Amino acid sequence: MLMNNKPVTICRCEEVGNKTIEQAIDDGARTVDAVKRATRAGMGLCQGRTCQSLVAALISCKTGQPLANLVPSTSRPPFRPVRLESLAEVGAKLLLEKEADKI
Amino acid sequence: MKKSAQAVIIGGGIIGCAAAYYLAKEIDDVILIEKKCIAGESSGANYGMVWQQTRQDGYDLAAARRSLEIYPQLCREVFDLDIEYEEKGGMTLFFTDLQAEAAKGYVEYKNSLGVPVRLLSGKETRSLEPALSSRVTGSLFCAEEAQLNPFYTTLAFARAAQKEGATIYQGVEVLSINLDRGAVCSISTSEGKIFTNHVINAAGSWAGTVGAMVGLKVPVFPHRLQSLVTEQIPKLLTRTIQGSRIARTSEEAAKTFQYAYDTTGGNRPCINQQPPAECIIESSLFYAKPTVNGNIVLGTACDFAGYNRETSYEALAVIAHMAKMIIPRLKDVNIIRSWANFDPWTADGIPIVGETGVKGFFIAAGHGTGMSHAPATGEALAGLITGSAAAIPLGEANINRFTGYREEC
Repeated sequence: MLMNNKPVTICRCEEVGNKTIEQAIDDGARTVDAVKRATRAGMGLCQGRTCQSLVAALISCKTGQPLANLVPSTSRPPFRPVRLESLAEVGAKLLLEKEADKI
Repeated sequence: MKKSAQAVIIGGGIIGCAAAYYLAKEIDDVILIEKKCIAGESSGANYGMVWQQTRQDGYDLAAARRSLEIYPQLCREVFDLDIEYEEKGGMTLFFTDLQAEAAKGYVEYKNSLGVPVRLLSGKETRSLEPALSSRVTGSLFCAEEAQLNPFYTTLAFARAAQKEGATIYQGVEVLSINLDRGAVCSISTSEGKIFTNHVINAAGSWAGTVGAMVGLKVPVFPHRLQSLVTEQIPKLLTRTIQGSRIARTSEEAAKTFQYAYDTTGGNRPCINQQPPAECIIESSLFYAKPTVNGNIVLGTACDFAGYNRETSYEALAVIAHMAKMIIPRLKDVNIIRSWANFDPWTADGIPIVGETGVKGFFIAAGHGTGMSHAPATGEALAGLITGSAAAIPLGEANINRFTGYREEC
């Protein structure tokens, strides 16, 4: 399905299509992380939850690498978008505790 | 894999890719080997600043100024990819009147070095960046500074190198560098052996591991920097800003603009010097970079944690707190990701670039300032290897500035 000639959106958050991703693979990207750096696929709000496996499948199809060898991009906190202020409150407390005389 | 090359570069970060481009312009058969992917480490996890106001007098400043000169030309004539290079100027904020006093002397000093930095009042600062809080009492502004997209810039150099005939192998690891009568003769990789008389160690935070393959100590250490990135939002900032450490006494204020880069106290650094202990909270320094896509990258908390690339809740919370205090409107914005990268660190804050006591083994590593230095470094290194004239002298950046280096060779 992925490798037919129809354009398909792979990363919905960053609106990256299969053609862009295939081009990045043709240009030498061989990992999910490399495709992400070249195309922004996986950099959006959902952080690749939807598209990473599709990107891995495309790499596998085009290069013949077994899917099992394609590790996902490093997963990082927060695990869902979080308001900056809720993190900042924790930071303010930590600074007070350390009596660090900062802003 | 090719069996021989005139030069092999180890490391696909911005320094390795720039070196590959400049070398491939001059000589045939340049190979770049990268164990992960292009821009896979620090070159893909930084703020993309091309700054001169924070650079130290000498090689560091010369390399940054030369790069500011070259980038626009690369964008016009060489790169086939938009690297989002924007000459919007750079801004360092301060927060007390005492710091404004200290800033006057600092501006005079920088101007005497040819850095066109200006002192702005709080009001002038906010007229350029209206989102900044009234806590900001002024800033140092340098119009001749730029920002870029670090992924695309590294990729653009890699592609330019390939166009000039360089070969890039990603996902390939260097296992050993083989010497014949004290000179480089080949390297062994996970994919085979390549005969070559020139090897360039552009392995960033892993430069020490590569140096050890020829029996050299290369004192570059991984400095862990943590960052946050916001969701895409309507324009809030125009340019990259940096906070200064807050100072409430005049002694502290006098040190406001002394960055933690140079830990040598004016002495020559030692080849055996280990990085200092750092407390994440106290070593945090505010950065905010508005990206072309609308995300804002916020940082940073730093420490030395070996190659541990985890982020800590504590560090991220402190960054968020600084961000809210300095740019209050960020408080309702969502954070979508955090990361930690290894900024290559050297004891005097200056990268290590040039030839070594091992014939054919060159170093271009230790750049905590890779985006600011890459074009100039690549150009100078290619000049050194091919024997053409250097635009900037590399002497000060040589590894022989470290005491104890000669004993080792």
